[in-house]
Amino acid sequence: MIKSAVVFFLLSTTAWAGMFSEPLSPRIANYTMDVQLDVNSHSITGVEQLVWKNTSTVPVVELQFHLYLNAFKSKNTTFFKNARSRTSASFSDSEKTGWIEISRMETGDGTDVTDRIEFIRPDDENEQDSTVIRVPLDKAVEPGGEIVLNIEFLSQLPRVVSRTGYFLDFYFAGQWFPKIGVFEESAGAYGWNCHQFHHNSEFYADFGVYDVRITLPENYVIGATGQQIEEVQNEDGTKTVRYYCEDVHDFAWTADPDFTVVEDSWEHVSIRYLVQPGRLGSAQRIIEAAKHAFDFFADWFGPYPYPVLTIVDPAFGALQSGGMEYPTLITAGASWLIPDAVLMSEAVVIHELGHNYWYGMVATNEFEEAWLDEGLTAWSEIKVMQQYYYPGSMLNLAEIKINQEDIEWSRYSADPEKAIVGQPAWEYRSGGYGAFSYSKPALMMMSLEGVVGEAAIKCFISDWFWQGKFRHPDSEEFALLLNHHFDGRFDAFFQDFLYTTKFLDYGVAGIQNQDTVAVHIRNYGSLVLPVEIQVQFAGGESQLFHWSGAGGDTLLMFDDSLHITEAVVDPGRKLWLDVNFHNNSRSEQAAGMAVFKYAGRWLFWLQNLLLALVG
Amino acid sequence: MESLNRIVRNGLNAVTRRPKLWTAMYIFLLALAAVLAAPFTYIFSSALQGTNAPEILLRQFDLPLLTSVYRDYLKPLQLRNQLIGAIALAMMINIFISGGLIALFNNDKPLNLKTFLADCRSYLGRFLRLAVLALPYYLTAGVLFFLMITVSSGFTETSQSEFLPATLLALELTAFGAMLMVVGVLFDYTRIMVVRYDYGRMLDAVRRTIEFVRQNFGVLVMLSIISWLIAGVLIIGYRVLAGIFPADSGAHVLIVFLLGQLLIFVRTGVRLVYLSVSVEYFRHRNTALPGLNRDMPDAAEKEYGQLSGNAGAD
Repeated sequence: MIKSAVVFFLLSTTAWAGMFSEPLSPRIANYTMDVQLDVNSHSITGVEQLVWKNTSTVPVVELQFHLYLNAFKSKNTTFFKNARSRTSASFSDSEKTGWIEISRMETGDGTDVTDRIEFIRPDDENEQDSTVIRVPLDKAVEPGGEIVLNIEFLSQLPRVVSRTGYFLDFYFAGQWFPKIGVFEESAGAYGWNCHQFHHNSEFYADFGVYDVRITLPENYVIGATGQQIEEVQNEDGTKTVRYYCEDVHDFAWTADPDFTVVEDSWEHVSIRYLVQPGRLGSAQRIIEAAKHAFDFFADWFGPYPYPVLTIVDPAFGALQSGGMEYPTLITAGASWLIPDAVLMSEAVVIHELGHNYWYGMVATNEFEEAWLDEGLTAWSEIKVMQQYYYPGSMLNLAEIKINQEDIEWSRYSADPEKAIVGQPAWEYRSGGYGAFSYSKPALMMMSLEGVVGEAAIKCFISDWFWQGKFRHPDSEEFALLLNHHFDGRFDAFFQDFLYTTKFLDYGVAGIQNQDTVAVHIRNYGSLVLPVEIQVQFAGGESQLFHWSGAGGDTLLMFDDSLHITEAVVDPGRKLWLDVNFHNNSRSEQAAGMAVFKYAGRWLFWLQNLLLALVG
Repeated sequence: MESLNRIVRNGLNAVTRRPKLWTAMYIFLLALAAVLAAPFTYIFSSALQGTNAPEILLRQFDLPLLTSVYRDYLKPLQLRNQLIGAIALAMMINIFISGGLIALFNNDKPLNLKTFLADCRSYLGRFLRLAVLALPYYLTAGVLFFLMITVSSGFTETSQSEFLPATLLALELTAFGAMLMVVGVLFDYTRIMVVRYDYGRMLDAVRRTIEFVRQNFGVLVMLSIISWLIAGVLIIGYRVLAGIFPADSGAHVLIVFLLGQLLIFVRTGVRLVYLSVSVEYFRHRNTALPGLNRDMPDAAEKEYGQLSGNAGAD
């Protein structure tokens, strides 16, 4: 108790002047931490002072915390039970396990509440899972009041697994400290939103201020959420680095003696790229991608208020910490093995930076509604890639050009009825998390844009950002805003998209030139969006029609003197939710050269194969 | 070295003197590939017929459209199985026609279909047995490759950069390729030996050829590498040339197709030259196999003389 009090007295006396002149968020969960990295045991010992505010209208009689690292405690945790066969993590080796232990917890008035800590499992009955605790309080935290908690903890990092851990000298500390849940209203009642750590799910937390001192060997290069505001060399060969960030809801950090720091900037943002040896060549690509993303997001969504962005290049053996987002800190996935024709590194950086909007600032619940962060981010990524790397925004190899949206479409359309979008991340028991949290929502946004146009969707998404920033909006709010912007035109569509497995598959069922001249358009699925139909006639005349999609099919009738040569539904490929583009047209044109082109290639490679084996 | 040059020249002449063989071989492979490609062509054509997909696909690579076509039409074709079937068929055909080709070069006769097929049939049984005998060698190469991967993963697991794993993998793949090549060379020459001496004891033939390969290892491997390198250079050249003509119009598609066929034609010649050079080389070096030179043609003996040294003598 005395030790904690001294530490926090010292911390409080050197408070940082601040990052923003006015708070951007409600600052509900505020952390001041002083931690030490032990590179021999790969563990972090620390003290944490949490100042938590009750912004609800009811007294709070208990607190709930995430102890995420306990997901890696054994193979029987909920995380690993979910993940079975989906991860390479093995627990045959004790070096690979990770856990977190609270050695002491006391309230600001000095009351020791350590003995009251109780593990709970709000999502399942798994007694082996210890990723959530509850702490009953003697005295309720009244509405508008706050509570101070001093916590001493020990975090044992695992060998890098699922975003966090160590690998040789490389450290990535994510979900590494006792973190309070979100006390919020749901279905008319207040309660804690504090889910167990599941394999698919990510995180959810309240905004606050983080003031963190990290002590580690002096030869380590460090990066973390927020701004580095202080660095002190200690006499024992260590250094203490202080990071500070306002209006964020998580804090992650990384350290590696082998990092090279590449510095750049975009407008008011200092960009630090911490890159592994041998990969300096990736710096230009990575930083340029980040700048493109900043440009696009600032234009389409709104400003990035933080003065820093740190991009981390994980060590080769720590790739499971790559491609992850934290406030003002993202992990990339560079490698000199990735050729220029493959734009995976760019896509990852843009995606993770997109999360600083959809998750970082618009802090939706990643546990319960993953589509709101992953889906919108996947769509944002597509938009940036389209603007700066099109065509061939994923693969640009000679005439083979594959775009990001092609990949998302392929993933979703492979099995469009596999799952629904609107469900908690851990409910994707038979797969489909990627297709339905990332791909389908991204394609939904593209389809909506196809119908309402770029200006309207830009206005909508900008509004979503401005209304949702530094809050926890949800799908219901998204639907309301959608209805507000588009007069309820998409209400039924959106509900179907979110809560059903209905899919969209427009096609030309037939064209008729004898007796009557007509085009028969059909929706082979049951998800409905307005669509364009282009009909071409002999002589070259062409007409464009609009169909609401209602009723399942429609017949376009024409004057008997006309002869239809081609009919195409969605000729501009605006409705990316369409699961089959092959049936979108009927035409009198001969297949001829296109068949020759592809069959000729198939023949050519078969000949090569035969030559390698015969003779 | 001078005699090696002569061997290569003779091998080259043996093919260029037989343009019919070269052309027949090309047409045979073309026909075979066309038969294998027919289901794809037919179904792909049916899928595109009556839609605007041809126009789009001629203009550009369209993954979603191709995926849609694949799911609707081509998936039941199981292209992967077709490919496996094509490989199996190609191996069988190789076993069949090798006898005819080797006999043709060995006996230095003009191409005669009847004789060619008779030779093919004559050696088929023996070559099938050789193919079975080759399996353990290929299997051993596979096992060694697997072991290399397993052992190296111990090192790469703790590698902080991709340099070591990538280098090791490249080395392992090279080693695996080299093993496959050596086994290929061994059984190429075993077949040549079987034809040349009308030999019937396959195990013994393999044993004797191992000795032959051991004595001539450098040259044999070099010849094999050269033939593969030429194929590689030809394919790269084709890719560069084809890249000049983006296949987005009928004329360009035709040009690229013709370039491809030109490549195949030249590669067919290279394969034949490799085989004829191998036969020629074996004829030149076969005195290294005591007791088995009874059928050595006088012409060859006169041309190269009695050489008792090993390959290094060149």
